[in-house]
Amino acid sequence: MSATLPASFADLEHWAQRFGGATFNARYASRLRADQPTLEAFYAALAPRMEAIAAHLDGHPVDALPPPERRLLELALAFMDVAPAVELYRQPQVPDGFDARRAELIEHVRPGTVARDG
Amino acid sequence: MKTEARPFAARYPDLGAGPVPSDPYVSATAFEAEREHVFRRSWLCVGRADELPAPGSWLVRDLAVLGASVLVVRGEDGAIRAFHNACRHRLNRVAVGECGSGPHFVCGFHGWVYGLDGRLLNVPDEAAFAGLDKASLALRPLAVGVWEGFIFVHFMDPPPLSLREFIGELWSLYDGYPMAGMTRVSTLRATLECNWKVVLDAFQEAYHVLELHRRSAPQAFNGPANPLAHLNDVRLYERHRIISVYGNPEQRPTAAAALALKLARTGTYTPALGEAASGSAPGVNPERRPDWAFDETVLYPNLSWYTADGWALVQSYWPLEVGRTAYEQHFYCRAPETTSGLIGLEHTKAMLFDVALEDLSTVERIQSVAAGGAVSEMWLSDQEIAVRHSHRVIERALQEARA
Repeated sequence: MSATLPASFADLEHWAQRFGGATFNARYASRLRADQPTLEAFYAALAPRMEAIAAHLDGHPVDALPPPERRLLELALAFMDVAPAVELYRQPQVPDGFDARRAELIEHVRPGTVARDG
Repeated sequence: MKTEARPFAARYPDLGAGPVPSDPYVSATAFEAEREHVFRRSWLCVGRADELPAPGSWLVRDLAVLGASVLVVRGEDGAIRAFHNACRHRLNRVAVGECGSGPHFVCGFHGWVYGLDGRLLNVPDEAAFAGLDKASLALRPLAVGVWEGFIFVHFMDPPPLSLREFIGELWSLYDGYPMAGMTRVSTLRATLECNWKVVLDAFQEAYHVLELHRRSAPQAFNGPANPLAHLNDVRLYERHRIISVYGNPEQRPTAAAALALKLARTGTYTPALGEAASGSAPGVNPERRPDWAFDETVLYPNLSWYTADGWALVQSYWPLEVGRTAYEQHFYCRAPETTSGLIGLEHTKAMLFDVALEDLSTVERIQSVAAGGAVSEMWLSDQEIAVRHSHRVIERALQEARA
């Protein structure tokens, strides 16, 4: 993947590499692979930027995001996917939960039309 | 006072209050009887009309419990029809895959062609067959009906009850519920090593939320006014049932949940997070209580429909074997119109996924204990009366078959 984040969010690039992904399943797998301090650092880095990210993205049409904005959106989605682990569970997995690897989430509503691997 | 602690038993005294056996979770005999007397005799939901958006749209639903593959099609005339997905030539499937669209179906074995209405249109090298009557070799039809956007099929010809009779008193309860304005956002799927009723029962009460969902949903379904997460109401019908689940208006969202609400207006569980009351449907939160999270309608035998303000869930529990079940959860809400709306929606998707992992955590453990026989009966609270009712309705169907 050649796109990088929009310039005003370039400092978050390493987080996009770590947690970005085109699908929920890919992003959730990144959450499960991470350790809790990393998830907490990611959450802390993104939380204060989320409203600015949303405002930036709303300046573009939802179904025709340029590649850098698309990468930024996937980073913002990853924040939401990671948030429960930080806010509620204090660990990457749902405690004592059903094995997430045995559950699949099929997304019928996804940004854009071009699917690609995260 | 006893009647306050157990309000539903007082309303439905015929259901009794004793323990309920767990044998139906593991009995091969019961499972075989359920195939014929629960599933073959019921209208079964195989999808929603919105999954067939245009003429030529089709979906396939494999129903292992009845050894069937069902092909559901929207015809040129807009009508929805259902067929056995089986070529009349050599029994191959005429539609392969989960869904698609096209002007007709071509069997991939020898190229027999069927119309959207099931008629056999073309047979390659037809002259080589002796006495072939194409008019009598249409795809075998199934009875089909649509209620509130749900597509039902029936395997008996004719069905013992019409769809309207089968839905019964629930028929008009959802008039005005804005399901048609919602979009199917996501589908969670898992194959579970448990009986279908174990997972169905896991979703028929809210007694479990205080413990099982203590981390994911603290204070969502209980609060100072209802510390024990008691249901707002239970309504039991001849074969279906509805539970109204309390929602804590004082619930404090997490930072991410509050951000999601701000961005998307698609909340998760409570009116405090959700949209303004949509409630024009007479059967959804009928008392218009503000301290309400959602209603769950369990349509016999294996469908749950969660109706909330601004979102809905549809769950199905399809038996594969006595101890194996295909579970699906479909999440519906209004489609987001902005990119930030997608971000807000993602929070709900993640929460629903995590909460489902909690809900599904118990079912295989329960199945293994039931199979081992160490504990063979379940003590149910009045708050679990819907589970009791479900067991009673299924047992009654099997008893009628034996009579």
